[in-house]
Amino acid sequence: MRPPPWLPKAVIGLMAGAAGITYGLDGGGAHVQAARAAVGSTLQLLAPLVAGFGCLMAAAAYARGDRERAVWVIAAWATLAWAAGRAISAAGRWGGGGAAYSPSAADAFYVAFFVLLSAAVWMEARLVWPVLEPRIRRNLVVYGGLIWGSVVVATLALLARGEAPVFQKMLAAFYPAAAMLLVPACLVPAAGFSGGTSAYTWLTLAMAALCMAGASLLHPIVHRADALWVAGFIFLAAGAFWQRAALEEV
Amino acid sequence: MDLERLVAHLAARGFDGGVLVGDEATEGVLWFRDGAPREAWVFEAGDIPEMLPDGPGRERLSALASRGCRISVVACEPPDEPPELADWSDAQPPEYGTAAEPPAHPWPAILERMAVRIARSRGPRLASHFAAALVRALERHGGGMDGERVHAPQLPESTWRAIVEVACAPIVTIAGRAFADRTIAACERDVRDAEGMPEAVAEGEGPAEGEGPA
Repeated sequence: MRPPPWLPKAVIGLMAGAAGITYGLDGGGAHVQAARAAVGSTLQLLAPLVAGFGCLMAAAAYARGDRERAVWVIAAWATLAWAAGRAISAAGRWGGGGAAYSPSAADAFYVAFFVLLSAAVWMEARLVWPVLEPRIRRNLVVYGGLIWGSVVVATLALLARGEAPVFQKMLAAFYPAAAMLLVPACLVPAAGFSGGTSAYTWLTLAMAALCMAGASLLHPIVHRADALWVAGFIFLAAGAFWQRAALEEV
Repeated sequence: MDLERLVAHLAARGFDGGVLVGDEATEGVLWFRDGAPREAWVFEAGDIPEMLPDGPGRERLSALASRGCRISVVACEPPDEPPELADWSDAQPPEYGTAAEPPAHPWPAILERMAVRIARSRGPRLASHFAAALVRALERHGGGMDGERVHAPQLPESTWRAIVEVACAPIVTIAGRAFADRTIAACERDVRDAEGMPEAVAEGEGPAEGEGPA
């Protein structure tokens, strides 16, 4: 199964356009707002599925036993877990008529998403780590650790003011912390492959992780933070399709 | 593979030449003259080559062969006098046969182009790891790199494949076997295009995708 080269670009472009219209424009009557909400929910489900398809396409460019193949297969499972969580959330919202209770069954899938995606990215980082010079390794660890620590402290400070149950606070801290940890981890292969086309894959994935960290931090405060989830998965899909193209055009 | 069955087969036909057996750590050759197995040369990676009489040398090569490593049969004139062990301190490369198994691919030109393609896809760091592994592999067979030029004595196809395998090891570890095979195939296409060789030759002889060099 090999889609034509224009198809991933067209799908990603359509999703980006739809997300821009849905989350970027205001106003309109009740019907327009209802349509916008429906498109938003569809995008929240569609974006991880497209990203997962991209990951499977990237994995298909490897031979059995290649370690990077496992990276992309695990990433595909991660996106599937996220899509399942989104489906449960959407079913709860549309079926129940109110806001979804948190933590819910969907949170189990969201946690699985971050655990699986972290496993995939760390596998790749571990492969590329020996290639990097000690100075770059040190910079990645020090600056990555500082930024990650700052985000975790800021998140905990924000959460300490609220009166939510402890478990909910733990989850609220887990999502941005896990997403932010992915940024320096993605920068390891990006640095290792710098100067080559594969570096863009991992820079794009670092952008995806940054969007997801922003979304999980801002989600309880800003309604439009949902746009950042879609952006994160669009970046993930773009990185995966780029990797597939880079592997085929050696 | 059972080396003893091959030895018996060659002995029955009065074979002159050598049976090359090797993996990444050890390589060896068992010489035949008029069908009679003679001495065996065993080369451990990074070590001084050992020269053993037929019995123990053949046992070591049989053990290697039973582990499924590469085996090639080279028809040639075996050396008359075994060299003195002291002579090996000069690390003279073994005289491989040339007529029976000529290289099926333009390996030096392919390997020269590989570093460029690897750098384009995976960056200069991985390309330099490939180049370092390639130099080490070539040096074991009396070759080397002069800038970007690969030079080596006339080597049989099996030895070139062993060199390619060792040079590609750092790439296969990270980018995978499929990437390495695709890069080799692309470089071979480049070489054949540059030399104006007919495409049919490239299609018939070139390493197809998924076919490893080993």
